Amino acid sequence: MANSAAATGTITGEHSADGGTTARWRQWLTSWGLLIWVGYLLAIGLFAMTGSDLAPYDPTAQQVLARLLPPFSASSRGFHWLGTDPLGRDMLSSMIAGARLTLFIAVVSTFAGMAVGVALGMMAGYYGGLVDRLVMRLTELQTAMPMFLVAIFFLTVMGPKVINVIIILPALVWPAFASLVRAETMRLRNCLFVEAAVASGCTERSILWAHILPNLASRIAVLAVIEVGHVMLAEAGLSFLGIGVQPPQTTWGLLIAKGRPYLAVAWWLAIMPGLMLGLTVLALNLLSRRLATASGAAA
Amino acid sequence: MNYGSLPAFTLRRLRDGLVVLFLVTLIIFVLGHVVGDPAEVMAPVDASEQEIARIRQQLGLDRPFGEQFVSYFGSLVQGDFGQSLWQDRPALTVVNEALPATVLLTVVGLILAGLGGSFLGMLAGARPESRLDQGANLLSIVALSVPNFWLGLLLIVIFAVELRLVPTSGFTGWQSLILPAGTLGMIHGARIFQLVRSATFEEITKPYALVARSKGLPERFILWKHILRNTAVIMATTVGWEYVRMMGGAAFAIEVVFAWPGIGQLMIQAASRQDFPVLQAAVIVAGAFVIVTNAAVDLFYRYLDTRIHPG
Amino acid sequence: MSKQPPLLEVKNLCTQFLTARGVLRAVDDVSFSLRHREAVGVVGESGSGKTVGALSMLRLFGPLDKVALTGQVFFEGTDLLQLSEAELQHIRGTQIAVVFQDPLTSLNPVMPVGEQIAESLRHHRRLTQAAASNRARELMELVGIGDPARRFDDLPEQFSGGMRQRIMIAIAIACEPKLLIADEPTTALDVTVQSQVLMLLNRLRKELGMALMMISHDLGVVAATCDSVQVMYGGRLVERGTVEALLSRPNHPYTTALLQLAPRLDGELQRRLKPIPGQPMAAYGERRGCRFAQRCEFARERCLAEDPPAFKIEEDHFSACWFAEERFASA
Repeated sequence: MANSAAATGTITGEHSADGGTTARWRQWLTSWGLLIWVGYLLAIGLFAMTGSDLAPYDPTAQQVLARLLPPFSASSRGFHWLGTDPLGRDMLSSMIAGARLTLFIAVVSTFAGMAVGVALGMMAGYYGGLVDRLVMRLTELQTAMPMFLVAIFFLTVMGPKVINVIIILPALVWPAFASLVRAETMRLRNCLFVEAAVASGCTERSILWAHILPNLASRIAVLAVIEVGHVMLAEAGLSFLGIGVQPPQTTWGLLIAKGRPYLAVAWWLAIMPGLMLGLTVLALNLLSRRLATASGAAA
Repeated sequence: MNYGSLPAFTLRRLRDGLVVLFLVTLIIFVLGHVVGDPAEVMAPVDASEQEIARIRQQLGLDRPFGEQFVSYFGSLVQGDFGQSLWQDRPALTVVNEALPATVLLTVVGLILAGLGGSFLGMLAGARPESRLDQGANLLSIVALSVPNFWLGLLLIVIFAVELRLVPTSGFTGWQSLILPAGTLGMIHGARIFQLVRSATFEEITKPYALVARSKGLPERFILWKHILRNTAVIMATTVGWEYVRMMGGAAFAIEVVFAWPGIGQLMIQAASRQDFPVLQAAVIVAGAFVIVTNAAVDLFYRYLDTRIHPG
Repeated sequence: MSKQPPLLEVKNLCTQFLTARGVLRAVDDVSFSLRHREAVGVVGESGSGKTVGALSMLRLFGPLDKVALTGQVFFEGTDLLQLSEAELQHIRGTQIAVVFQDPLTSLNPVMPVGEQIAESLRHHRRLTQAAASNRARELMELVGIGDPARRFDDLPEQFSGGMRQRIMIAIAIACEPKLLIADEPTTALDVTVQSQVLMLLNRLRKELGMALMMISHDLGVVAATCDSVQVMYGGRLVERGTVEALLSRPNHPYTTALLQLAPRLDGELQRRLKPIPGQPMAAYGERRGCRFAQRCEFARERCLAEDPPAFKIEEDHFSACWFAEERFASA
């Protein structure tokens, strides 16, 4: 019945909430853009899983004669797409090798934050009352806190180790999940099918798991994709500042830091890893938007 | 809807802010004194067990936890954050010296972000699906996907190294403010842009906008006279939240990139030198900024609400 | 009155929207004319095109609407559809004004009402702020808002629905337009307030000598305010005549069906309302034949195949039905 002309305001009702930009994006993404981004993410994922196996050269192989070569240069070893570092190591290979730890930290941290957030959110939304108030208070306090600063302090005190990074990063994301899940659970709790489940004798636990959670799954997934990007940026920041991952381990953030002293003479050392990081987060953002409209339309 | 009276809300909000500040100091304390061992950290590398124990006693670290915290908190409230291990001066003094540089950078960055983001956001929201709208929107997504320190480095390469228009780093006069404030302006402006854009779009689809057009008023007039009044609140609160983000860490990475002598750079230098008092002081001071700004935005929003809905 | 050329002459107006589901023909080849000071009611269901038709004349569409407008709309001899946006802005608000349906959302919630009234005066008549504010207060008095001096600075939400609609009317008549389009002005109001607003409209129309286009789904509203009536269905004009003629001698099957749907105080107590079967169909894509044929109990083959033109059945009374003359004769 969308053909009725509204008496006031917009004449036709046929446009989306953000001004049709999503519609345009949809066209663009579905044509070939989406394929490129998904392909890119798959490639990064592949790099993460296979480590340096797919890198053109051994990232640790030094070749002092080929040091600080700009992108698209050749050395006796071969062609260096993204140049070489001060010790002659191939940049592209270093970046591919760095994908593993970067993604590992980001995914694990997001997952941990998601687990905590979803659990707390569901409890708050389902049980209400005191539990709800407690969780809400906790979320409020956590959001009001300058978490990144606390993380800096935490890592300085506890030592800049990967395990500490993975411990503190989830604290940045769990409130977002908790809020979302809490709101959705409250909404779903009042739906008829939950009443039916209760009436037919399901336990609370099974209601939560089998009935409510599946409905939330798509929205949680959309949020998770975005948050992986945020966590990735946070880890990069910490590593760049020197209090995150330490050498000899590599993440993209650390690579940027290592390249920084050479900015005036070999800009690619710092810029290229950042580019890869930025493209990955961008791909995640675009993918998450696509997922949101797709699942929003379905839900 | 009854929100409760303004004075009651103000008190509650301020109380909440203090609670959070207290929690932050508690967490810092717990992390610094109980979880880590400052005595071990501060002792020379080859110190013996007795020497470490002696240092511990000197610092009062062998007293019960509660007692330690009370005395710690007490000194904090009096402004005593301890002595910097690195500069042998009161930690708070060190922090206060670095504060003006940070304030200058963040305020200028915020102004750029607020003006740029709001202006472009209104224009884009008023012309949905136009080239301006799509281009600016894409740009904003990109700006929010890249690490802010990387963007700073990129700008240094382009403008300072290659084009030699501005200095590469340091606080050497107003030109050196351009790039760091510009970087902050771009990144934080992007989010302001997105929010203002969607708010503007929502407004132009509302009936009163159509009515205004039926009165024969031109589009630009409607945008800046009618729509702006409705989006101004969103602009102001978003600007506030972006400042929270800046002081919550985003600005500090930029300070490090540009060697800007502010709290952020101080924090990292203190961290690398294991100068806990200064690090604590910096974190707490920056945290206080965050908490105060948060509370200010909430109060501002509530105050506006009572003005807009007097009835 | 008959020597003067018509104030408004619409010829073959066609408004099409390009939507995700295809081309929507909201207004399909509508032609009519309106004399100075005449009041015509436009009646139809939601989706009949009555609102879109009126707003199309002023090219007032939503920001995202993709519209194709064809035809001619002559207002005092000038084709509005050929004017540039800037020229059209001179006409809107000054020569032709609109009163919209929902006064709560039609007024800017954060702007004082007096300012919203004064705006047109400052912009179109170049009055100073003081002069415009004075005139605005006079207008508020004229439409029946008590204590205008104090209420000038109040926000829309501080008024009741009926008062807000009076403010909308004040805004519309501020520059003394020649034509006032009222789009369901009373639909969102309480019944008790409705008649007050209608009486206000009648009074103002006579005092200011305006023509009126009253869009409504409610025949009672139209009967109370208008001289003639146009009935729209599916984007087309199906019948037009004086109020008297249409109410006592309705011709088009849709009009008769509509009329008998209105409960009457003087009818039989137990009479069942006979709803029109079917749903109004979305007008996507090309259509042929009478738009109402699918729901019409008198439809024949010809109705489905050919578009009926407007047949003149008496003076000032037209009906777009293949059987118009037959039906008139047997009535």
